[in-house]
Amino acid sequence: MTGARKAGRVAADPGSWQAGDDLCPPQERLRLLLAGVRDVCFCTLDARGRITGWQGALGDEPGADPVGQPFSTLYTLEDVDAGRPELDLAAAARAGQVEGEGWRMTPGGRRLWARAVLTVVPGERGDVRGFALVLRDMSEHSRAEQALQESEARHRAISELTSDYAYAFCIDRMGRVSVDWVAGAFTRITGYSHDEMRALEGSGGGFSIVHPDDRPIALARVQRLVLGEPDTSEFRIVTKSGAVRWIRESGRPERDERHGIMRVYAAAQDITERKIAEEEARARQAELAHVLRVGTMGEMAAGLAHEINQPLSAIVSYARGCTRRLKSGMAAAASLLEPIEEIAAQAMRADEIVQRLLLFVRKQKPVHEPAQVDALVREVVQLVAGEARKRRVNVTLNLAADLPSVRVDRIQIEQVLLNLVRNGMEAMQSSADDRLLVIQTRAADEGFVEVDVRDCGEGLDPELAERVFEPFFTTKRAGLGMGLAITRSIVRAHGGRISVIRNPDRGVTFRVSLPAVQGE
Amino acid sequence: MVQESTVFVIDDDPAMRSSLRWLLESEGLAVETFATGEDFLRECDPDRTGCLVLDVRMPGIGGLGVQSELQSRGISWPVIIITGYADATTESRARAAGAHAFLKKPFDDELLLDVVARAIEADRRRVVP
Repeated sequence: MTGARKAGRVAADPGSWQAGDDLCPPQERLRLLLAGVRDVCFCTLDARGRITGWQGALGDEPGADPVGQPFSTLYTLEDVDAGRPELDLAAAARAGQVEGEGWRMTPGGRRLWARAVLTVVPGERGDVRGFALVLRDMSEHSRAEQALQESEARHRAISELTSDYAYAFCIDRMGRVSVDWVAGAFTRITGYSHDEMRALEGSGGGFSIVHPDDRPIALARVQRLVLGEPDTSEFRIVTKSGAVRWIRESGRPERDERHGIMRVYAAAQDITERKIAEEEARARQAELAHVLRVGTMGEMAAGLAHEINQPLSAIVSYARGCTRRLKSGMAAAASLLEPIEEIAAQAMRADEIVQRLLLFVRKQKPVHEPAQVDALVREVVQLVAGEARKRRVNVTLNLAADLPSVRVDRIQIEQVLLNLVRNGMEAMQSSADDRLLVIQTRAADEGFVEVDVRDCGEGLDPELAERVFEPFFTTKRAGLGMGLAITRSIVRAHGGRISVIRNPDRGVTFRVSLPAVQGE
Repeated sequence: MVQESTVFVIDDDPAMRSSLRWLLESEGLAVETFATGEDFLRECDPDRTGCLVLDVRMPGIGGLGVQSELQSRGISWPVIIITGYADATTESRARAAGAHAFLKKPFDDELLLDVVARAIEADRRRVVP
């Protein structure tokens, strides 16, 4: 636009060119100047709007000369019909100058997006002597602008289609968070407008809408973003109306060296519905697992009765041995110390067995916390030690060192391992010898920890291997056939996988993969 | 003079072995303990007299395995089976193999001592008719 204005002024007042430059006269200079311009043309009109002079080019083929024609030939037919040429002339005569952008026609008859500036050339008595018209081809400019607008619209559409809201914020060197811009849906979900967010930032920083219990998550997230790491976190926010919503937010940080800040583009989804569904699924899972545990309890009762009878028998024998010695007078008091200590130790051992049982059977809400897989395996092996002895199964552990932790509900994953171990022991029931059950752990690809439970039992037909996880599928005479189905649903609820593999020699291996805690 | 009879206690649980020794010794009995059936079979001397207090569930050959091995070697020490399971199959198998008594853990001391005394007596009669 400024270019067009300059051209107009130059033409209207060629005398302003530097005096004393006699290389060529001002008129010639103007001609040369305009010959070099490809996207601007300058024309003069008489007072009635007839074109009296034309210089410059609008990308037309040479030869199109509009001189002598009414300047309305430069308007589109629609505009001519609407009387725009006359209106523009009148407006320019009134105001001295008018400008506008729109569709125009070139002298060669081509439609063109142009910026037009129409300026009055005053006569000596202040009347209108004519007009100067500068047309600037804006098609390049407008194409770029349109592309930008389209791109913005596209991004807006994508951000609103793929996420519930998007926004951008900055983190300064002090770790302060301030919101740059928000997409409209931000307000729909949080209840806060951009201005209200700004006001909140004054009081509590960018965390003010994060649920107080989840602020540590938000803080850890900002710390990761500050380091330039992209982050996806799930946390709760409290909306303006006080409702709690679950949000899953992905942020991509970009370092802005010039301003010493980290700019973060974030897209968020309202996952409240999903979270509620997950919570319900977990509750059902816990319910099922409890039912299964209680069922398992009955089957395990024999093994545990044996286990608890060991310390009880020992206690009875120690105590009776003491009373006999005391009655017969053959006991020195000091000689009774050791057996009495033993009595206490064996009573504690019995209590431990009971506690283990209680912990296992107790119904509780699943608690997901980091746990070591090998610790879980050891617990389970202890729990089935009695049964393994009864079944003459040799349980061998092959545990990898330095495994990353897994985030699990201990009771549920112990249930999974217990099911697999008992399953393996049952599979070897009719084996004459070599009742060997191997439990192996390892760190697997993609941040998973694997536990293999390998038996050397009868194995499975290939087509049955596909079906073992189906509910009510069983090859055993006793039992509902729910064990492996529940096992699989527990593993899946933990984001893990379970599969069954036929061993090359004998029996099968059940493989459980659980996602490791990230960042280890 | 008849040689002293020994009670051979075979149980994989250390607390069971040591408490049984403590109880049996309070009656002045000679006691030897073994953690597995295999250990006992390796060391047993058929010329000695006494009886066995034998756990059923043990790693390795187990109580019933010890019984059948003694039978096949022609050793007829009285065998007292002790077990945590009151399981009819195990009991009938043990008795069929000639078990002198079958006791469920935890057992009464009087009962055990009585059964052991009678087993030793039976073994003595076998050796010295």
